[in-house]
Amino acid sequence: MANPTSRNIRLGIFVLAGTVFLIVLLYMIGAKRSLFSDTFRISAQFYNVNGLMQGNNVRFSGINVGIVESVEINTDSTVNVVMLIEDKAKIYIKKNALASIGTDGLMGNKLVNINSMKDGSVAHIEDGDILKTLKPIETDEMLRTLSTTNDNIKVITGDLKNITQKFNKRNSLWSLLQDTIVADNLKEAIVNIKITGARTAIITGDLQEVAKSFKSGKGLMASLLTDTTMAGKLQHTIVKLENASDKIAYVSGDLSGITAKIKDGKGTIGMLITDSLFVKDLKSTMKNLNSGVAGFDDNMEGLKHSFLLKKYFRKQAKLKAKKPN
Amino acid sequence: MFYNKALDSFLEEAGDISRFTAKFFREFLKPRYEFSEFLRQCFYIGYKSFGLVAVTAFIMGLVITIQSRPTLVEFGAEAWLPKMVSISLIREIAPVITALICAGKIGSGIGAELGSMRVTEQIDAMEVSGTNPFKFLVVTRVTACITMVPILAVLAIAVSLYGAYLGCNIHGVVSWKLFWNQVFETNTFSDVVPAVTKTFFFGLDIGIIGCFKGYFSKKGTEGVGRSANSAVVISSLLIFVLDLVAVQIADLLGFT
Amino acid sequence: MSEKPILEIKNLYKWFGENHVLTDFSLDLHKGESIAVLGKSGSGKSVLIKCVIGLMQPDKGSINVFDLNVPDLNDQELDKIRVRIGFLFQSNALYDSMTVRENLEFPLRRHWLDTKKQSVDELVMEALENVGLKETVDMMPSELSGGMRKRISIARTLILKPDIILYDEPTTGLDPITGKEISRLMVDVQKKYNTSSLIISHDLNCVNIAADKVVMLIEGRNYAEGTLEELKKIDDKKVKQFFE
Repeated sequence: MANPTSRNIRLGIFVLAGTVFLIVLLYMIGAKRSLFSDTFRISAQFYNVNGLMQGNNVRFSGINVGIVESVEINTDSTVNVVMLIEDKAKIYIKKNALASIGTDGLMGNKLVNINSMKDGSVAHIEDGDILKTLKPIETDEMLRTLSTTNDNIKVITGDLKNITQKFNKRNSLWSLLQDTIVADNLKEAIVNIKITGARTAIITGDLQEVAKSFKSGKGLMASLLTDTTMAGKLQHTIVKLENASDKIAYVSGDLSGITAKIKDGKGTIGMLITDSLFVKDLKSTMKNLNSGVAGFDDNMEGLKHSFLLKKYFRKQAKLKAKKPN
Repeated sequence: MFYNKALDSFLEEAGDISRFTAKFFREFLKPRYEFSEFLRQCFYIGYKSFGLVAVTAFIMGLVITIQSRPTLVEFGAEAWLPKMVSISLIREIAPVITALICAGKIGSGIGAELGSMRVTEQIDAMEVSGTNPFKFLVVTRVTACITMVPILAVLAIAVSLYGAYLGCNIHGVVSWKLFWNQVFETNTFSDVVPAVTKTFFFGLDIGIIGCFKGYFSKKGTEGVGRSANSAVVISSLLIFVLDLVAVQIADLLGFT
Repeated sequence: MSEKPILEIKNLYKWFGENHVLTDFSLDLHKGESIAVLGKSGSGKSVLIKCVIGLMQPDKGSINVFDLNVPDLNDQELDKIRVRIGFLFQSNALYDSMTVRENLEFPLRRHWLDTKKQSVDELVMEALENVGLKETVDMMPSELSGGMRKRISIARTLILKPDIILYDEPTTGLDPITGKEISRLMVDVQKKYNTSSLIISHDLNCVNIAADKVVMLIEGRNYAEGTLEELKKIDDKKVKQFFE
């Protein structure tokens, strides 16, 4: 028969152990939810929060720094998201940081990503600040953009083919008469195409990488769930893709203008002859032309050779470099 | 009114248990607290049951982890093992297993003890000795159950999580720190609070049913055996019913 | 014995559904007197003394103890008279989970919460000495024999020095020799503390030793009264049953 004192001591230890574990459990959970550390509030307004909920994590450069305190509809097109951020993250987040809605893994919880912009001179964030936001990108939207880009590229190549064919067929003088503008435009177009090409190359590289990791790996889920860098890259790619498609649209606009002009060539020529002002210009143009033609022809040849032009210009550059002068 | 005899006796018993519970709360609030007897009961109900509860909880934690692994591996989500296992252990398995073990050990113990006290007139003797046997026997035991079962459940959570940690490390490698990090990250207050809250009701159930069955035990040794047996059966069944109710209430209150 | 009885049962009725256990039972117990109530099993003897101590409520009639009517008392008042009435249970009702000492201390602590530790110890030892079982003080009831348990039970009843002791079948379940010892002990105790006893029994040996007067409880009534010798002479079928 244990005496009451030792019994009570053992009971006390037992009760204490239970209570301590419960408190530790609750405290640790609370600490994970940023409930017990000093925090400050910032907010951001999104067009679409994709199911973000109260209590979701807020990450800064991929590290948990806080939680979503509330999600409320603000106006018909904005949702206000208030975030509780730990004080210690204050010195790292700048006023111009960009908030976006992301997903933890492929099927994980929604979260708010805060990413800093390159410009480091901006002041630190403060309580009550409103962050700029990035429209969340959805997969179908990304695919839509890709297909428009493809279409545009198709149109451009078609147009370029037309131009080159026309140049080949027509009497070169008449063609050349028109060509101060055309040349300028074309030059510009080529530069643009070059940029676009370069960008597309980067994008396709990225996408290939994405596709590769999609194909390989034990499972799509595995890689996406575990690889946060991957997710980051994907987003990066998508942003670039959007930029690129904008540029391509711009270029294709230019080019179609040019082709239109060339198509109703006759009218233009008639106009050119009657226009005395233009004749003057033509004279000077002709002068310039002497020097310009050579370069232009090169360009045209280049267009014939390759759509992406890169190689050709590289060749030209090498050739130039070889020349003594 | 009811001609079905089984239904009739069921309803009668349900009514009796309700009245018994009401009496418990009335007597609980009245002064003259049997504190030393309460401590003694806490010792037997809480401390003495811990070993059994701990072993069961440890094995459950280990087994659930081992059993969950293959499915998660199939999905390539092996890294989620601690999260998934800890959620099911905290929310459901540890509290219910604790309650069932307690229903088996404590419920039958109380049923048999009070039953034999009733049969050998010890309860009458107490009343004659100037002691309210309801306060001395029932209130102390039920209160001890209400306080000890949650503590046992919390410790069961701790032990089962340790079992889960070992289970995670049988085939894979999950460091001690990573394991607990995942546990604390995945589980929220809305997982822990309802889980612990319901164990108070499990304790009430175990105590009340055990005491009720023992306190109104039929004469003879057979009556004692039947008290102990039906105390276990009814309180175990009630645990599942309470669990069902608890999950609905938690759902209604938004603890999802 | 012309003085006022300390226990006076008048016209007591108790029935369980259709079963009328007590019908118009009356009994007077005077100071220092020892009355045995003799009856068959199931004739309502136990019910009678449980009504006296307030464990059961009679349906009709009065039980006056120390000028108080037991059925009308509330819990606090009942506690007060229960200090002065000892009750020896048929099955001893020793608390299995407590030692002999704790068993004896139990009523003491419950009734007199301010009793000092020293005097509690003395009272326990005194009570045990009266029943001759001093050495068992730190044993558990389960370690004792039936006769010893009965003695301990008597000691627990005695510890409050009651005015009346109610014995519920004190010799049931004991062998005849032990039964006689217990009966003699009852007489000793009565003499020593000048208590009154109400003995419920169907054991003639016990009644013969311990009781001054016998009441026959037959069909719920006090069918016949007198000393054992007087009763033996009564020529009645129902009374004769007991002496065959």
